[in-house]
Amino acid sequence: MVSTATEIGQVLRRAAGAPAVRPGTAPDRVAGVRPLWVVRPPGIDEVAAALAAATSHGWAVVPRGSGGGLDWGPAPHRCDVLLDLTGLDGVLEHVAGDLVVTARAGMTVAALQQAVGTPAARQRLMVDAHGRPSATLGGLVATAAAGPRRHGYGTPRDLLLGARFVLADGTVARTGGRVVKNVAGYDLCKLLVGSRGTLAVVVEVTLKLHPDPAHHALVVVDGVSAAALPGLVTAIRRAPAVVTAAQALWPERQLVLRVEGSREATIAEAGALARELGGRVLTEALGARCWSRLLRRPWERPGAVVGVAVPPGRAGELAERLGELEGSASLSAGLGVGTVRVADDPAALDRLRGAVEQIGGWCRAYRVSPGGFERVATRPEPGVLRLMANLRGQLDPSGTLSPGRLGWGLP
Amino acid sequence: MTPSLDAAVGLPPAVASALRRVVGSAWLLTDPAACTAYACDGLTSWRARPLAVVLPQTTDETQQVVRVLAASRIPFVARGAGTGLSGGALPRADGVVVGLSRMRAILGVHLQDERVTVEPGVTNQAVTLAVTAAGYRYAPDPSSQQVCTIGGNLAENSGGAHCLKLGFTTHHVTGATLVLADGEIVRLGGRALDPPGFDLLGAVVGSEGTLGIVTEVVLRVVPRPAAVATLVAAFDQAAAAGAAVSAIIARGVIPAALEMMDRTALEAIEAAAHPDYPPGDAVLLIELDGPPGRCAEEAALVAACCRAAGATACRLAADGEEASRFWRGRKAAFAAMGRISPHYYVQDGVVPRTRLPEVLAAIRQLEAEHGLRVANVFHAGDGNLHPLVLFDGSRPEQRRRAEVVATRILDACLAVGGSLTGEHGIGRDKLCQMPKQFSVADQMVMHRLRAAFDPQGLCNPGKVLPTPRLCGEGPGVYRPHPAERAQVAERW
Repeated sequence: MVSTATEIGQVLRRAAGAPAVRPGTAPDRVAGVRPLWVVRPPGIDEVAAALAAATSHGWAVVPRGSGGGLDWGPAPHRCDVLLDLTGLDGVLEHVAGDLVVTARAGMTVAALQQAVGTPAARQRLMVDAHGRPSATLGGLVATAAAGPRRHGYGTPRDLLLGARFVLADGTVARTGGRVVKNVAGYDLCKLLVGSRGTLAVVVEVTLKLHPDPAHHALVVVDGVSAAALPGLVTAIRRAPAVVTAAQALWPERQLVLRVEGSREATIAEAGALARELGGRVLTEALGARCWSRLLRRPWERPGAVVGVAVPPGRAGELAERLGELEGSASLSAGLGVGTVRVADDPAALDRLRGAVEQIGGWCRAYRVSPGGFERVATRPEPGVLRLMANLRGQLDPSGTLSPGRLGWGLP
Repeated sequence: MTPSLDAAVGLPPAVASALRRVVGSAWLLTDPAACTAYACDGLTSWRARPLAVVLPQTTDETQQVVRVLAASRIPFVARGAGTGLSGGALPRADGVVVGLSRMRAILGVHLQDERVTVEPGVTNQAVTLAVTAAGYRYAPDPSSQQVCTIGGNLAENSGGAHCLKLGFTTHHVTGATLVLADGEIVRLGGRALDPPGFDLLGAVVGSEGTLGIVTEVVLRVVPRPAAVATLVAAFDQAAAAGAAVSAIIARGVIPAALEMMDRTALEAIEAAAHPDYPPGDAVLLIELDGPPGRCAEEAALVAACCRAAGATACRLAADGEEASRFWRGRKAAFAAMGRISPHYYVQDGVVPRTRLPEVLAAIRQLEAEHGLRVANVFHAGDGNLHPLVLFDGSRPEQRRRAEVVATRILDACLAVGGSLTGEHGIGRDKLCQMPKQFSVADQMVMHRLRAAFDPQGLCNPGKVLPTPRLCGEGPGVYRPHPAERAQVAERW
């Protein structure tokens, strides 16, 4: 169905309310594609109405949160409507005794941390969100963004207990629940995490929280060789210490460990760990600087940022190859995952993917120039691609949501 | 001879011979007596004798078996050890059981990667045994771990007493080979994390065998903790024990396990296992693990929380022997019920931890109203209740009341924002209760997810998602299933 931009604007104003709708501008571009209209709905009903209108008219909609990961991956085929979800803000329920919080998807991670980190509750959502506190909760889900503390607490996949979402046709549905253990029905949370806004628009999330540790300490081991990395990782995994991050930095050849807990336990365990591994415990001031640098590190210089994952025991082999790849890496050493930064040119991207796949792993594109995606991202196998297409076809048969953003010729 | 329904609607001879060609005639069971052994899982109240049982030995054979069945549109259900408690492995009278008990090889132990690759028929405990000497373990530990299989664990997203800190099956599976309902083989994930594309593996774990048959699984194993501290605390009232649970979690301690037993459960346990718990109306069994210093620190904190909540006694196991005695009591709980009741109905529901006291009080109320006893022995740390409704099966009216009480307990769980099931699954048993927890739209999305994997609906149909045919148009209305009317399935 052909509609003029003006007609689309009129329909959207009726659906989401006039104040929620404005024309798209250059800064609204999604991986270079400029939306006709930007809709910032004030509530779930307006999200549903805007989506239903778009689907019935055949318009393409791209959801966005803070925009931090919006340009990652392939550009959308079309973007008639940019659905800005930052209007869905605020905590709906925080039951401190249950360590569970339900919030609207447009709330930022920083605001949520403030809400659950009150002196009375002292809790925290344990995601580093690629070091971007301005990220929204919906964005965390869409991108599966994690960080160094994944070693101790997992990723949004492990923390998302339930979600409310809107399908492309405007249907509002829920999955999971508000309890930490739940096997009733299919777990759609897992599919939503990392789906990049192609299956549904997440509008509310229920997340598992952790007690915010009273104290933490960083231990740094210098001069780590790639060959020694597996042995060090084994030692860390077996050491009598609660390690919540174990990040290997290349080419610095440095290992940064984070220990968390009570003041007494943290000091004792960090000291013992440093002695065992031949490292040093950083002072609080140095530790704070080191940690914030660690979070910013993959993003602070130009170049392509690529997510890598290898069998954990082979992280050392990946580190060994980084010299010839002329890349820098920040790897969660115990898990075999992390980010690698290389020059954003075809040859460098090809080499990186080749190296990672050769040691039994795979790559995903984070910050990569358009066209770099299919070079560097590991192609899912045909059966997986078929199931992905089927899921898209079942949940969004008109192809309204973020068309083309999955790459690989998927709708 | 009575005309047999098997003869009327039996396995078509062409299908039987095609299946024999795949697995060899020894591994296709069509004899009614042999098939009857597969008529139910651990929930024996739902039974249906399948047309046949086929036992493939490899992924390839499974693929060919599924292709043969799909070509004739014959529904099938995969089955492990059959220890499930929700009728998830209940066959259809017009369907086939694909038994995976011959696929029980541990294919590889990769300690550097903290991974073990297994076939689906490997038992849960065998995985831990394969890595014990190296100082590792497989974390999920359902109480049937000696016999239950990894394939079944994956289908049900099994938990266990020790999943409070380390998570459920879904957190410990990194890869799987899946045979789809049309016979296509898909490899999901592997030894590395974060595979490209949607997290399909996350959707398959816990899907109760409705999205395909898993023929190979990559599991994560974890190092054993350096130290373990085991405590028991006794309380005058179950509600006080429930409050202690919340207090412990709120203080920032995540125990490895946090189990609760109430008075009725304790009566049976003390008689059967002599764990020598301090006397009380409720006992908490708490296990902490980690570095030795931290373990001791947390044990002191937990003891303080229990005392503040009104514990009458709090005892730290002096050694490993005393700790195992404490656990022996908890582990003997279900079997011990025989000491105080001829039959019991196991319920499985979840509540937010902070609502434990009021739900326990509601259960007391139901006991009084219906004149039946309920023993509570459960995973208190994650709010997962396992009330055992005691009754005398020789009195049909008691059996009916027990069912009513079990259902009302679930209603009480849902009323405080809980869930129909924490680890046993929906299966066939709770199928018709799904609308109590999920809206029509929620269920529609699940139907679409299922259709993306199995558009023909051949893979374990009639589980997880209610249909008007199985549950009636409205909730709660019982209508005899066509199979029941035809006497090929019974409802006990």
